[in-house]
Amino acid sequence: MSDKPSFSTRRGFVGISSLAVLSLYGLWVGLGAGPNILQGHSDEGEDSDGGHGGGHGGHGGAPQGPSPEEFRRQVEAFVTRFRQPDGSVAPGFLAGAGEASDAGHDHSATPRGDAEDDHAKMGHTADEHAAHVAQGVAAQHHPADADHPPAFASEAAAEEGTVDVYLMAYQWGFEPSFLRLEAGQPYRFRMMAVDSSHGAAIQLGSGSLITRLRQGVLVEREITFTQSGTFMIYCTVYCGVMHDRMAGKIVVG
Amino acid sequence: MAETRSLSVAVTALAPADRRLLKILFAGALAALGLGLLMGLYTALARAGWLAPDLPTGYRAMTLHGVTVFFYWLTFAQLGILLAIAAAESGAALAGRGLAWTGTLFLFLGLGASLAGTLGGAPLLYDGSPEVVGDERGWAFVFDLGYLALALGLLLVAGCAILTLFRAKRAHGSEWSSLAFGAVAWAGLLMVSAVALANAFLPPARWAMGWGAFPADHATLWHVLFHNMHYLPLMAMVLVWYALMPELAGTGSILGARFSKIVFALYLLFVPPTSLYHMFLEPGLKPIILVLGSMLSLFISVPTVAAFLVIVVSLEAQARARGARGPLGWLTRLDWRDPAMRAIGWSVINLALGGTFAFVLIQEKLAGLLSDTFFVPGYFHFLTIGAVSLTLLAALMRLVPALCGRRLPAIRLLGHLPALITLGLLVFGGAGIAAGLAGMPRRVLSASYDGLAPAGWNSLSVWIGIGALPMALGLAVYVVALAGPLLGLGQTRSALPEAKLDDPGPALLRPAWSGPAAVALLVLAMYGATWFAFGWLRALPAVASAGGGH
Repeated sequence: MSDKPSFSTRRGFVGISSLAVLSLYGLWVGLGAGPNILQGHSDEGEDSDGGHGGGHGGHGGAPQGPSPEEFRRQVEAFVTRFRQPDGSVAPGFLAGAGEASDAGHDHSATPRGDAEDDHAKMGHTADEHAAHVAQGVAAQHHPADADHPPAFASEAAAEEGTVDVYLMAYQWGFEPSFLRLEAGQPYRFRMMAVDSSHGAAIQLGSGSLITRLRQGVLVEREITFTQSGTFMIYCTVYCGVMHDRMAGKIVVG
Repeated sequence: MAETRSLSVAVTALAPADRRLLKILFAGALAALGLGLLMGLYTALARAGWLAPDLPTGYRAMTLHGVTVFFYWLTFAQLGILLAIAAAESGAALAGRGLAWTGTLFLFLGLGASLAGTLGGAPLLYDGSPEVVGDERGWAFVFDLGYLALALGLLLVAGCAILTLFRAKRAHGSEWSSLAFGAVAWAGLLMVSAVALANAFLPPARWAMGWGAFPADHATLWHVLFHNMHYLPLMAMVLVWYALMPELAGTGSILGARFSKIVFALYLLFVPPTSLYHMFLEPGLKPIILVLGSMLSLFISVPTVAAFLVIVVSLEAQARARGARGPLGWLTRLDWRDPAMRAIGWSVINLALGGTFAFVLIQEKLAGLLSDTFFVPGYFHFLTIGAVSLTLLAALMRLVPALCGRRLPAIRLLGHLPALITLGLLVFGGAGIAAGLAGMPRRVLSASYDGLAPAGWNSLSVWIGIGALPMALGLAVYVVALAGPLLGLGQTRSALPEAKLDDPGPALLRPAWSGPAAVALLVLAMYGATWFAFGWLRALPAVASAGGGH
């Protein structure tokens, strides 16, 4: 037998073997879920996994977003505007033509009305705006506050535009608790927990899209449903003893 | 043959006051584990629909489960083992024994306050969020006091261990052994956790009494605390493997003390900066933070894999030097009749299972879909119970009989418990991981949502309850068996022989590929699990914008 140490018992080999799990990063890059360091390319912020799930656009933050009271008023206006006879709320389908003015702003027939206007003034193209949204900066540019009333809107005729959906989480429920949405239509969910932290998870059959909401923090997330169905929305952050009663539903047609 | 002091032999030579202190710490550990496992079983059975507690009672049980197992069982057990190692290294009485006794008193006061706060007030779960306190601020204050007392206890007992280890260093020519070095690092991180604990729960305590503002940043402070607290037991686990290797297998590290010290120091290097992934679901995190958090999280594997390799390579090479043949012949040289050896063997298997799924979760895109679901309890029970707790129990099975001078009862039965617990874990964890992938939330007493939830959630909850039964049964038998000698029950036993270590020189010449092969298999399993998870993610019937946190 050789009097040299076996390769397997050398410190250098053992040390390098200890780094084996780091190679998982290569798989992430291969799956489009991490920047490729070797190519010096960073796709930071891009939804490189194709946008399926993958967390949420945690933009917002208290300084940029509305207060819980302001958000509550926005939700009330949203619900009033789009309430349907069956009790559901269907953004994009006005409850009545005369109600448009009730919502309090004049961009309701155009998706992202004032946001688009501001972008045009800033010289942004529609594509650039979409990229901003993907990078999570939209909320900083266009917080919905007293100066920027909510731009929910969107008639069904709103071609390719993003429709705003307001969702308020509170102990122990969601408002609105019953949404009707359309498959293939991009929605910008504007969500806030108004009393304590909550979750806003959408059960999609084989899995769930989970958003964590901290009290008073506006969270925006663009979601497009690719299939029709009835999906439960539920809280995933413990919020008190009625936590497991906190649910609503989304019907996607 | 070189003779060495084995840990369980060394504790028999401790001063009576030190032995009494260790016995009290281990009694506290077993009491916390016993209560925690009962509360965990109660919660699991309620979730399965077999028990129907009112909501406050159910959530109090869930709170007690987390508080007693995660905070008190792991702390009492770690501190007892840490003091035992420190005393064994010192070969003399504990330095600053008064600190340790005072600290132990605070640990028990903390346990009492945590129980009282939970039973008297609103159930807060173990993170004690002030947002859900409601009108029960007085009881919330008591609950927070429990954690503050725990922090003080941690600080004092870990401080005693460090003093003792420094005295050992002076006594042994200003050189720490690798185990003593690891124990100092461990004690240091325990003290950091104590500070993080106080940092997280002092503001809520002040607010509860009207002495301070509402702690709006509690969730962030909790994440920092939790990160430290849940990696420390992992470090404790590898140190226990390292400490028990001589007396269980007659082998020390063949790679040298300096290499082991570097490995233990890696915990200090990698644990603090890898906490970002707990926040992947938090709103407001920039995309670059998410990517960095994912990358850093991979590094948390390095010290544990390194320690695993040091131990397995040493065991295999030493066994081959003694004549073991065949790819796995070295394994048959280990004394599997010893229940501590079996517990450690199964803990390695459970570590691999838990680790495979843990590294699915640290990827930020997957974390955003799984972090608040039952996927988390599904995989982390493999780690906290299957790997860490089995290892700590292995240490107790060596130390308690040595401290009490009495035999453990039913040795053969104890040897079968790790397999029983692992069976329960496979059912519990398998169902939990499947439920998590389906979006079933954690921390709910019922996942039916008045019929709105998918039917699969209910059946998976039943399987989770079924899996909890053997887990709880196995742990309960451990608690009873270990409590016997502490209560003065059982046959007396004669003194243990000293461990005898072979010269590492010949072993270094022997090939030892089992460890690297096991790591390669683990990485392949991680690749498979991650690949599967991304496929699942992309099949979801919705497209969403990026971001997210855990």
